[in-house]
Amino acid sequence: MPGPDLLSSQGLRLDGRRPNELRRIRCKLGVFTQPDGSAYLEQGNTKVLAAVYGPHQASKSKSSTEAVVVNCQYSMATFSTGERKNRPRGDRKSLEMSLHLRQALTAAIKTELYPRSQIDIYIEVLQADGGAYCASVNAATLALVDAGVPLRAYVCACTASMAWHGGSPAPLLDVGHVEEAAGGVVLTVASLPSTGSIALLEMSHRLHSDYFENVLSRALQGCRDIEVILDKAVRDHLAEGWTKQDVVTV
Amino acid sequence: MTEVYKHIHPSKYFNDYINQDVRPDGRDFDQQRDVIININGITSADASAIVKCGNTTVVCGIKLELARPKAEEPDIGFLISNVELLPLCSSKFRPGPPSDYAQVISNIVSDIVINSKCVDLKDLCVVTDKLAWVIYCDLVCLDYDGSIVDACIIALITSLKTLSLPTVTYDNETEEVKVDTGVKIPLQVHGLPVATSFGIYHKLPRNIILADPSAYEEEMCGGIGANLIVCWNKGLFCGIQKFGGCNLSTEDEKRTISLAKQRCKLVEQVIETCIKNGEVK
Repeated sequence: MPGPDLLSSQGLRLDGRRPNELRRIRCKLGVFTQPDGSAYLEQGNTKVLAAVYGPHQASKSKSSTEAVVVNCQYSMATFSTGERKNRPRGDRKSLEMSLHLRQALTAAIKTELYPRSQIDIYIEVLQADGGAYCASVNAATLALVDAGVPLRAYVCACTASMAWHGGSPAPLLDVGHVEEAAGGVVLTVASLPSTGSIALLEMSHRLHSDYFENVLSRALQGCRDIEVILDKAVRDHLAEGWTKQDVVTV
Repeated sequence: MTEVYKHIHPSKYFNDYINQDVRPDGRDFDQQRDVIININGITSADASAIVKCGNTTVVCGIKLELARPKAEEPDIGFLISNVELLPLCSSKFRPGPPSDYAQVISNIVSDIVINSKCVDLKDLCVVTDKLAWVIYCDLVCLDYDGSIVDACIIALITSLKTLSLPTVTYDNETEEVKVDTGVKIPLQVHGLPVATSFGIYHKLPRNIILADPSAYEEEMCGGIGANLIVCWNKGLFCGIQKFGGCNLSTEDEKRTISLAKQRCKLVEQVIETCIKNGEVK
């Protein structure tokens, strides 16, 4: 059972947030010139960069005649965590994250439009303070929009946990690193909020099945809130009139 | 239309600009791009700096660790720098182990910093033969648009200047190490090495020097890795290297050295201003 200190007596969390409050999200599209699409996203203290190259010709071994091949690489900078990370990529955790990212994003990309092609998505985590996977998914969505890759819907990811406040259960939204380390259950959900479908669901530790629905619906609500924020960022970016490609005059 | 022409006939596209005495991005041959520096952006690192030279973006993160000094050099610490050229920064770099180019750049940056002796490694020793600081400097390139060595050196020096070492108490009998992050001593950085890259474009009758080449210009001037790199350290000339590429006449060499000297003064000013503003906050 998670420690009762996740929620104080006033109902505030370890970093001062309310149980259903997201961390502050700041994002920017089109931050780099080399990739076809790029985005920078901050969720609290977690800072993530995403770059998209493609669609371009697929290597012979990976090419598929039915759909585009989505290739993800998740990498953490060595200075991103408290202890220096010796192997930024290629270790098991990074490979697992890359696979989860690929699964979540493939659900949203209209893959049938680009057979025999490949889309590369590179994620670099500059600072990790919990929820790095979620921030990566959100940043990758923005980068795909910036690259002009057709998507079925936005993909948003969010975490949720469970704490007890005075004996009654209180689901927590968007867990930070300290709350994760305290040993509570962490449910990660990547969903396409506008269609209401779930692309990826992962849970660590134990949770009684009575409380599962509650935590899941809280996480899905978090995804819907994040979609609103991402959508606003995309519209603001387009309103600036700045596009990487030459402006087409009709 | 121009994008298409650039892809089909890159040399002719470039030549057309050079013949008019201007570069494709509108700069003069000797004009260098603006430098933008931001410090302490990454709070999980002990010191950090983000540098943009034009479009080339490099992040430097410093992490401190304690280790036992080498037996043959018991009173000096370690300064280890590493440059990562991610596939994220350019389509030229593929995922996988560090490419040859990344290793060469890592080496060049490491040599410049170690040889300039800007950090006295004896300062990093806590207890002779038992405990010393290891400074891991990790430079990550986020956007590759030429002149990577310039940006890396600026980022590295700026983060070293903002680095503070926590105080360490070592009990000889119990071999217990206590690190107090509350009391920090800033690291002494002597000098300020600044590198400037030049591309040399082959043109008859005389080769043309381009200061601070972008990625496209580097390709035209013999490929990445053929740049001329000149280093100055506070009014002292401290290094010059050129591996392959086009020939360089002696008058041009003198000119590049004086251009690099001016650049050094400018970069020094930018770094000092940035750090001063950072401290005021």
